[in-house]
Amino acid sequence: MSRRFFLTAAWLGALTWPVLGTAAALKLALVVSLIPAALGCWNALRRAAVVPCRGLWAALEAASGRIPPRFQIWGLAAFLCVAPLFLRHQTKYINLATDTLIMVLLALGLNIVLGMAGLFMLGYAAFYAIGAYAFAILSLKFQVPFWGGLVAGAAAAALVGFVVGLPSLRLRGDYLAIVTLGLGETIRYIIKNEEWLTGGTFGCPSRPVFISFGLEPYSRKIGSPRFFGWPAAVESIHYYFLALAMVALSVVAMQRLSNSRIGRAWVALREDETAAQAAGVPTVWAKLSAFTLSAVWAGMAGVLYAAKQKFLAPEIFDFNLSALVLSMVVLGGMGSIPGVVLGAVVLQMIPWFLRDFFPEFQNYRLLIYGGLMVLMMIWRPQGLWPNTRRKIELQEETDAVA
Amino acid sequence: MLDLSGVHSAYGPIEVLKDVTLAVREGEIVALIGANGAGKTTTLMAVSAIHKIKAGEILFNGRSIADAAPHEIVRLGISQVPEGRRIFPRMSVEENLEMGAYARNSDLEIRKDLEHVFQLFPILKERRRQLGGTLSGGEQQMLAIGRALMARPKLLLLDEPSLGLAPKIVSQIFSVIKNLNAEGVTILLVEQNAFAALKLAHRAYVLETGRVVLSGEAAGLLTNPQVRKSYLGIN
Ligand SMILES: Nc1ncnc2c1ncn2[C@@H]1O[C@H](COP(=O)(O)OP(=O)(O)OP(=O)(O)O)[C@@H](O)[C@H]1O
Ligand SMILES: [Mg+2]
Repeated sequence: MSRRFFLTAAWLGALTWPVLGTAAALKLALVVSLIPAALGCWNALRRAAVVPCRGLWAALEAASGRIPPRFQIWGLAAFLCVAPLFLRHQTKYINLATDTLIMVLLALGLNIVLGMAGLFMLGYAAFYAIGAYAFAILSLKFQVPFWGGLVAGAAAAALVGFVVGLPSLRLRGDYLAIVTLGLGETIRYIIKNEEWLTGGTFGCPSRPVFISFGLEPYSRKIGSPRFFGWPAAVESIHYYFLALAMVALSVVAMQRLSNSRIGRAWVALREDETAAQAAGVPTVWAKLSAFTLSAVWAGMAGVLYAAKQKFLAPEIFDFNLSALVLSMVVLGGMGSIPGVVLGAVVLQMIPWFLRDFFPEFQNYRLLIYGGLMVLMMIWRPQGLWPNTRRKIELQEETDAVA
Repeated sequence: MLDLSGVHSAYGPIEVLKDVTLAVREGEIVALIGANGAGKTTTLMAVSAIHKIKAGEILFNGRSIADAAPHEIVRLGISQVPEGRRIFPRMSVEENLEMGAYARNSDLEIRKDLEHVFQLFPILKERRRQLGGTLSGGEQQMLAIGRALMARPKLLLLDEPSLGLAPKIVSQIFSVIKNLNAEGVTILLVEQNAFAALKLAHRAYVLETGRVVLSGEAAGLLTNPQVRKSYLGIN
């Protein structure tokens, strides 16, 4: 057992040496070769702690079991609403929380097309970019207020989503992934090159103007930004609450969608397209609506991002972002709404966690993502919080293999 | 009711149907038989508009349907039970049946038809909560037929319903087909089991490499020496 780990460590070290350099490669090899020892310690600890832990766990479960789920949700909501008011001078945490919520919105959107309808889409960041740039340009050049910009950004993304959906009518599986990837890159290059409109590589500022909703950003007249009259040192607290409200509404909308008529059409499409056609499901409409709705959510997330950030750099919207959102959906559990939310939160927290607690490992972020994915595929291929139907699916497959 | 004339169909450059002409009249059971690869499935896919034709005309009750979308065909009253059943494996039996009624609106009517299907295949009622993919082959075939019936079709297209089933199940399914026909559903039946198909059908067409080579009363074809030799294995 430990010999295998030593060999793996040596092999990994040798493999990464040309890229990482001697010191880092050695460090990596050392960490991997220490895994057996760490596992041993962990097991010993677990054995020692198992009795008290069981008791604690059981008590916790009993306690949470006594609180009805409805109260648990309200409790979580109350916490999410109140906690930031105490942290309102902590730009860092508020920003982190807001960014996380924006990623949750993105992941929920991708989940429509990927998780519910089973259409493999790469290059999702393009729709996010469209929403963000549409908002930035409208707010900057035409002083369009936030709410108008939100609608316009969502509509622009929807339009592009619809157009991208058109080739999907004839493509399946991997081909669809490649085409959507290509379209995503095309959009990024357009943003980069059309300097007169988007600022190109110089980036693009945005000027969000709010109409009420308790949000008053910084101005000369009122001084520090206010939230329902409450002075907040951090303007982003507005965006936190805005994002929180949008996530809450989205979760409800997603739940509705997945139980709706179109939601069932998406499941049928995912299971067997020909059978869906034979059963009378309008597959063309089902696909286009999945693409369009999915883009709407990305567009809204983009608007929020542009308003909060006040400056857009085209590099943000690259393939890495698409891959990250994809990982969130897969890690959390494709098609599962709580799973996708959880996946987004976990993956968004990792870089922050590394930066604050293990800065020397910051650069291995992608390696850690990759490792996490591999471990997930081995131990929990259905995701952290799987959709019940998907769970059955994978169970069947494992049974068939066994 | 259904008229195909001069239908050509191809997959890429490969022509599969080369001038197929056939007709199904209201109330009939028409069998379509032929060797593997003759183009039987392709013919049904053409009628369901799942695979679009290259040339020719498909009329349903005198109206051209070659350019319609697959779900419009279902709405007009043509349902297909596809080859290999193709039920939704991770939906329950009941959800599968409900998918078949996707194009319809009246919940009341759908409930009624669901009961009707359960009456035809009582085993499906027992298994209503079970996942489609975990049913036996015979049960899956019943489910596939049930799903097609949930669209309340006037014309039912069946693609090799006896494929891979035990003789007892085959005869059960064939008797259901006969009963459905007696209830007024017109049937176009594709079969490898030519003997059983010809005994059940009123009329039949024999397809050979994309062309209709023989047609006529089913009883007549049963005694046709060419058919007996090629499709019934009798001399
Ligand atoms: N999707 C496809 N792509 C390319 N060729 C196809 C496709 N589907 C069928 N074919 C070809 O078309 C021809 C007719 O196929 P079809 O499935 O219609 O035959 P069939 O009469 O139903 O045969 P069987 O009795 O074996 O089901 C075959 O030569 C087959 O290889
Ligand atoms: Mg066939």
